[in-house]
Amino acid sequence: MKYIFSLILALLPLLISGSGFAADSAEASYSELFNKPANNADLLNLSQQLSPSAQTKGSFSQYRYLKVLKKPLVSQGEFIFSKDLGIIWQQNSPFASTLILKDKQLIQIDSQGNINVNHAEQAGSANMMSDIMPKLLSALLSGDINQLQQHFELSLNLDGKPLATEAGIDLNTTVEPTAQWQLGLKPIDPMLAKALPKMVLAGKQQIQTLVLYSANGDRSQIEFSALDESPLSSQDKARYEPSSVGTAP
Amino acid sequence: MNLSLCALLSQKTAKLRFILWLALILASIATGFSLWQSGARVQSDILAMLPKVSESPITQRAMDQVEQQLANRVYLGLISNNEQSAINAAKLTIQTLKQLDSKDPAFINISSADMAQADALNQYYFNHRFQLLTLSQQQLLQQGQWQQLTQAALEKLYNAFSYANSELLSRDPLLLYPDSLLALAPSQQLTVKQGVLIATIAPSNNQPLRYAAIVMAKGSDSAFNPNAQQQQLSALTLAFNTTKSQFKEIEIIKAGALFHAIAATDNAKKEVSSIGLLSLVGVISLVWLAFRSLMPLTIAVVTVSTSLLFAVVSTALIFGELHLLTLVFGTSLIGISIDYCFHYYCERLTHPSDTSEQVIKRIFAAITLALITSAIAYSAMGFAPFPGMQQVAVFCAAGLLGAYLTLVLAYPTLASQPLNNANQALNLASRYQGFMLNRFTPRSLIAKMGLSLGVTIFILTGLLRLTANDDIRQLQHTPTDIQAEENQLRTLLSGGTDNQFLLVTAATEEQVKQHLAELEPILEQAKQDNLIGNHLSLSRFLPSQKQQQLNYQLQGQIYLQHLDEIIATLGLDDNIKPELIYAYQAAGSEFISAASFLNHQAGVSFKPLWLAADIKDDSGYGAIVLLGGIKQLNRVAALFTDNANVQLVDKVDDISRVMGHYRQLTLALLAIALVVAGVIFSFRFGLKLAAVVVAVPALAALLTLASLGLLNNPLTLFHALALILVFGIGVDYSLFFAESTQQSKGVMMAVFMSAISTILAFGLLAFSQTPAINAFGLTLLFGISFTFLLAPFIQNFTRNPL
Repeated sequence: MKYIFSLILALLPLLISGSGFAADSAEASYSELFNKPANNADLLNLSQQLSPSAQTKGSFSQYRYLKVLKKPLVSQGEFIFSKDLGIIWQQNSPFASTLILKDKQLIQIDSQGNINVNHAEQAGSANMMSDIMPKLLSALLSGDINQLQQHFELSLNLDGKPLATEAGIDLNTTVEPTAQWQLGLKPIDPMLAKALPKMVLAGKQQIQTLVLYSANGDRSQIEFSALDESPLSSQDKARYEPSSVGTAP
Repeated sequence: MNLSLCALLSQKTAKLRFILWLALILASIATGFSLWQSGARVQSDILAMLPKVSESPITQRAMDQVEQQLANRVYLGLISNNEQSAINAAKLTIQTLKQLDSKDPAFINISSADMAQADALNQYYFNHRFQLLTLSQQQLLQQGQWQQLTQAALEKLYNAFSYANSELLSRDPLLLYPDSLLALAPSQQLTVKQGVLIATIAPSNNQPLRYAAIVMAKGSDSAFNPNAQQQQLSALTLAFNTTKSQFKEIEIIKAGALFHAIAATDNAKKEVSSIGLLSLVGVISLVWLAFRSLMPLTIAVVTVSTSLLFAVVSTALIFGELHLLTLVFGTSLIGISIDYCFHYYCERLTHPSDTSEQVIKRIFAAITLALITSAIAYSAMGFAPFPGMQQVAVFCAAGLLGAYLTLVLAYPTLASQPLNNANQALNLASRYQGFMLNRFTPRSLIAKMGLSLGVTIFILTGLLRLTANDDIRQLQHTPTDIQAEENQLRTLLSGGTDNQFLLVTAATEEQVKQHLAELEPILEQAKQDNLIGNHLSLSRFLPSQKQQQLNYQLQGQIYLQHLDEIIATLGLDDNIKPELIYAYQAAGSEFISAASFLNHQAGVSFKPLWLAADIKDDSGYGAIVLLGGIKQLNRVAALFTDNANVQLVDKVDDISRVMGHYRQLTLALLAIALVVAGVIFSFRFGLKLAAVVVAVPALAALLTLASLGLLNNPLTLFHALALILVFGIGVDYSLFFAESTQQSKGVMMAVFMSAISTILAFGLLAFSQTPAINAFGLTLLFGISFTFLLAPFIQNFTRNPL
């Protein structure tokens, strides 16, 4: 039940105003992509190209374009992914906050350093984050196309044009703007599809960009960089266990 | 009296009486036919036979509403190793069930996750967002900590995976509402995938992690109604077959009253046919062996058929339906009504030269007294509060009257043909009685004292070990596999919902809401103490008006005092400000009330949990809190004993208590019936013989109780009811012996045959799987056996008056 509510929350704009999906410029640049259903051979190629790995870490820059905001929200941070341990998503600027997803636990550390632990059973996956994110990132970062196919309708463009960010801190500008593969994802689950109708994952040798579109025209774009697939250090592993973990009331 | 009796039973009236009998039969058939045409049916609803418990009007309304809500629900779990298979199987099952006959559907409300409900809740509560705050939000605002809430909103804003989006921010800039909405959701260990509720089953030693897709449906008619039962069963079977043909590895588990009812119906049907048939076959062979003639058999069939006809028609006429349990108990009627036939023919065997009229005259007194005492016994049974038991009483009494009328009215014409000479059986009976009397009548004082002492010790030890158990749950016999599936599904649904619930009452709606709010921490604690598994209260949905006013005032800080700072901190567009202030001010009196919520689509499904004031019974307002997974009922009940506003309603316990009360009452009625019979008999036999005649069934009853005690068979209302029947039948035996002063071999043979046929019928009931019927049969088996052993000794008193 809680899970339904979390999706309802994501659907709030639709329910309140009934406003539909507003196509913006960024979406337009991907419009071709969603007309190209992925075939298995290409997907297999892609998954081999992504060279699945049990762990990845790196940096991210995130751009949130919300219509109600005067200017986009830009944040930077780092992440660690491990098939066995889970995911750490740590924002460093403009303020520090961390999300740790492991063993059906969602640990949130806010800017004040307050630690909040939600058990997935208790929270009933209250946040989309705790249910979709681990599966999605796990599948994305380990290049597990099968896993993705279970949850999404896939389309693939092997010869796409990289998307620029409006904030001007585009990490891709340092690289030659050569062609990249673009994987379009449409959730199979109808509720999820309403909340998060489209996602685009793009990259070359490695993953570069993840764009999330919400139904009301808001958009989030995450740029990955400095990806490192070498085994995690003991220091990295220790970060999955933040000290003085307080339990949510 | 003798003269008029002679005239009444004379040869001349024989034809007239036969015509009268035929007319009665035809009238019964016509009545029965018209009743059947107007819809009288066999009722197999177990609930229909449960006793009525008198409750206060509001409690009664609460019980009705809860029953309405919970009744006829069916839960299915489609289990697979593969989550997607489970989801697809659930979708297919739902689709198949929905596609079935849409004009007369077997099920309504076929669903898994209720998306529309969540949607509607969101629509309703979003409009009341200015009246809602979570506890921590309240505390922060009370401390003036609006900046902290702003900071939290900002953090959510930066999270790409959070629910912060433009539309919500422009109406709820601090993102307070989502937490309130989440708080409305019951905590369940279930998730939703593609509109399907999914529970995970933890891996066990031989099973990997598995997924159970949950499907729920509500039967459109009572699960205890045989037709609806059949319809629902075939709908489910079709859905299961369709699903299993596409998803081979799917395991389906199910829970719901339907499956209990089906098992009970199947069982009852099987037992009615097997017990009834065996009883009939046994009786027929008994008659053939005894009389070596087809005639008594034909007469016996006529007697039993007439008896059953009267029984069925009278019951249907009085109750408008026939309960399946009545039929099960009623099969014993075959055993009793045939006794009259036995007495007639045994008497004819003893007096081969007598005419039919003379034989009837000989046994008339005994048969009439027998009918009267049986009628007394049955009316005592009719006092039991069970509609089903009242039916049994009417059924048996009417049936016996039919047999009696057949004997008096039709036998002179039908059974006038003389019998073959079949003295063998008669002599056998006579030899048996002689053997019993010679061998077992104590002669010496020591033997008499020894026997009395032995019997007294037996009775006392037995009675001392006798316990009682009135729990009605034991009435339902459920096969273990059905129970196991139900338990598994219940665990997945975190305890399900129990029959016991809390009723919160008060004079006004606001008071009920406040009491509900006070109840929450108590129930949360009870859950942590492992007393209950879950609870469902309206408290979350209906905050008190006082709380709503406070929440509204607190949000004034956001919308009236600090809106500029908040908009600036979050970087929101300034344009949204006027609209926010306007929305806040316009919502000042938008209170959440029971009426507005329960009549909104969001609250419709919660309607059964609310009791509006009813002018008719002047009962005030009430709310029901459903409980699930109750582990320690006593301790739960103890939580509310001192609370005048909260009452634990436990129908099962109430009915059980009524059962216990009537068990005691029935035993008392048995004692009274014995005394009344003794008084009636003393007019005819004198005090001493009357005492002996009554002593036989009384002693048989005591010995039966003692035997049950020694077998550790706890006493129930059904044992007590059976004892009444033992008295009814047993007193006949002693009556017949007392009536026949010298020539008793005919009586001995009749009693012998009667006992064997009765034990045949009831002895088989003792093998029934249904606990109630089993109790009934076992008691009768003991009771009739003891009466049969004791009755011949009455001859000691009639032959050699003391």
